[in-house]
Amino acid sequence: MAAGPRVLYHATGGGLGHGMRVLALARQLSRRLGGRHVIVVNTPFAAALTEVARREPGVELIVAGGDWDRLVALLWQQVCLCPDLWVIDTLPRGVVGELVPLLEGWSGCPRVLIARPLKPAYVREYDIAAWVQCHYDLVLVPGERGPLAELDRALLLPPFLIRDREELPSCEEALDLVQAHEPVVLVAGSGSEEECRQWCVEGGRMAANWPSGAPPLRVAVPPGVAVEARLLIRHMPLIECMPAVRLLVGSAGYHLVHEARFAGVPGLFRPRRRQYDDQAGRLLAGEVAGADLPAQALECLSRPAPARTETVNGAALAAERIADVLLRVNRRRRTPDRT
Amino acid sequence: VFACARCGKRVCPQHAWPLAADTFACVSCAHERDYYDAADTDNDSDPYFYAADYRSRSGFTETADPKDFQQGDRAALAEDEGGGWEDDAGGS
Repeated sequence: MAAGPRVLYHATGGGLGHGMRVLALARQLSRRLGGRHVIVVNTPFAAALTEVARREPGVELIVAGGDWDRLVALLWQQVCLCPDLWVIDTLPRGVVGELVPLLEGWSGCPRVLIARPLKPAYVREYDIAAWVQCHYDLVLVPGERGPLAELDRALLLPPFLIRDREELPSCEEALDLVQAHEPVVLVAGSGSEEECRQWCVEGGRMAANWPSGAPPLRVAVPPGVAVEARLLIRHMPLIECMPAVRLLVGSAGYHLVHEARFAGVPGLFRPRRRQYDDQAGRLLAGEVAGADLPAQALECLSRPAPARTETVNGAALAAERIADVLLRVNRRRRTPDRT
Repeated sequence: VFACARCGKRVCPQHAWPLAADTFACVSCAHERDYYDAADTDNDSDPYFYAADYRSRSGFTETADPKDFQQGDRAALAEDEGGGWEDDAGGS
């Protein structure tokens, strides 16, 4: 058995974001503490997450399928293995409320919530702030303030990223990843398989009238997504391509937007409707993609690139804080109770 | 469908303004002072009564503003807050 703690992560929900955020944290914790880091996901993009996780020692993915009963049974199985810490992403009650019976009926280890913002109506209708106050020990706010950022136990942090700045490849290495000789305009598919296909079509439209002197176009989709497109790349994690990207085009998901800002790459993003995530609220005025995307992209390329955000990876800071919590808990466990 | 207690016009439930004792007024009649005061509803947030509010202040003309909010603007003004929480395992 690996030395170090056993940490259970819960990242149910569609898309790549939930899994990527906990992977970003898990790899930082694994470096600091060793141990086993078990991530439960139910996304159709599990193949892409597996591609990232297989490079991280001590980190493993469990892909949950089936109905609510099977999901709860799987979680009971995991909590019966007595994790030292439970980290839950974004949805404090689980995407279909699967965490409610566990968090109310079991208190075997500290619980940490990664609190990407939720829509205010959900927070209000389900009294989420009170729920979190009652059932969580620490709330990590990863770069975007939502209703839960006001809680006493909230810790405000920069965005969680899957790579630290010093881990990003050089421009030359990144050019190999995007299969080009000069930095590219990257159209990135994410969100759902259907949205990936839509971005492939959009990339094809852009390529049809793309000026010969402009930076080359590439279309990126996560591994495992069944699409065919010209100029296609499938590298994961996408942030490793950023040093070779002149302009990023895609949906306004958490990671695409923050990875572009982190790397100083201008972005044109199209907000998509999500049940819990307000993608439009994430964007600055100049980042919103319009109807004439090719013209807007060329105009954007004629301007100087924005300065990159000089923040460190929030996942690294969170890991420091959690390691401190875990160590304190473990120390307390080792100290005999004298009363 | 209701009948306006003042003018008898037939109005749908969405455009019928409740008065006392199970009676209703159409929007036009509800704008008149007696009915407006009697209406058992909070008119401050209703687009139909924004005009009634600003017309009562000094400095504004009595002519209707063609750019004013109308019933058709209700959907555009409503916040997109979603719903169906915790029903979809693919929500995000």
